[in-house]
Amino acid sequence: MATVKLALNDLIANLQQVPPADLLGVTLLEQYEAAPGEWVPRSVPRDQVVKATLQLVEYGSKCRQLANNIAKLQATPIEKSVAEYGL
Amino acid sequence: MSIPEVKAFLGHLMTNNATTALAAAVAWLDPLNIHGALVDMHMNPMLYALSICHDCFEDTYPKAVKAFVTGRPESEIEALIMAAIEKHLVYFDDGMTIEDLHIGIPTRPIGVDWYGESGETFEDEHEALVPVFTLLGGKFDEHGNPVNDDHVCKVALILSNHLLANYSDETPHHDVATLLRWMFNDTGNGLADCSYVYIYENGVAYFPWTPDQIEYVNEMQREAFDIHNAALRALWLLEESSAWYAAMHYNAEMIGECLTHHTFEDLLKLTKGTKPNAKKKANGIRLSIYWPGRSDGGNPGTTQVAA
Repeated sequence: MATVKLALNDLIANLQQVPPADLLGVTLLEQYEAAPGEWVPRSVPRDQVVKATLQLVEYGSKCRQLANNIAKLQATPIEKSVAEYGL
Repeated sequence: MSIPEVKAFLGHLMTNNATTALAAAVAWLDPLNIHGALVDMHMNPMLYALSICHDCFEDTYPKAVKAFVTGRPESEIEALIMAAIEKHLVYFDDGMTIEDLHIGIPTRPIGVDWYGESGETFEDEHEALVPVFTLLGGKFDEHGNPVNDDHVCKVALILSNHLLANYSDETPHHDVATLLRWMFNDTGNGLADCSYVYIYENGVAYFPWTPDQIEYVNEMQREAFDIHNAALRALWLLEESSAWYAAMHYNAEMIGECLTHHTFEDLLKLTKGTKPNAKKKANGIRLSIYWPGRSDGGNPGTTQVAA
């Protein structure tokens, strides 16, 4: 039976493959340019800002939860040849 | 290239990379995502208030952050945040500012102060309770402080035990039992059992700003107010209903007399199994506790109290 090893670097590389989340805040930054001398765009409609903020807060919370879960992840030796099983 | 042009160029570069675009969006829309845990509540009350909003009031957070990053006056942001806090709490202190948020979720302790911690005498501090205390056999010293509150407390707890064992909620009997428990700091609700001075001088009630704690404090505060309202109804009843006044007088005297011959614990046990308006004899103790009927709440003249 083949031995499959998943090292920390592999895990990091796999996580880096995850495509960027589709976040309204990032889209708004692309769509609305900041006025000269400003860092943030001021012309974004308020409802869009509220929606984007709530989405970002939820996203941040999920990311923190995921980071905590990964930090507590225990090494699990497996003998299966299917690498995805370990994930 | 001018400084604004450099800024625009950097901004453009940031949005072209997923990581920096995310960082820019977070810095713009959710700056407390990064700073929240690091905010020193004493050094920067405004950031601390925003971090509370971030963690607890998601409906207000976007507006407050927008006001903050666009440089709105602090008074405007503070008004937004304090309005959110007021909206979500059962008790809110109108005089509270963001400078006070470090004390935790505000509470309103409404317990009776038996120890004169406020500096006032009992008679001055709890004028409305004086007639009930006296009715239960209580006496005051020349300064207006109770001298036999331990004895009166035992009488009150025995009587409230009897009421709670025999009458359901939503009855005047339950209100009277609540009054007796509340008077002697024995409701089981921390805010109803501790006085304001006791809680804040001893620092026994610090509730951190988290959604769970807000829910917990709201529930406790709501219950404390319910207890207080029940106690006020009972005070009114004892004042207005001669039937209730006479019953309380008779029962308190009888229990007071029993306490001179028997232990508090024995009497407490006995009250649980004693039906109202019936005599019970056990372990050599003869108890006959009488209460007005359910319809006698506030209707003087229909007493069933034994002579």
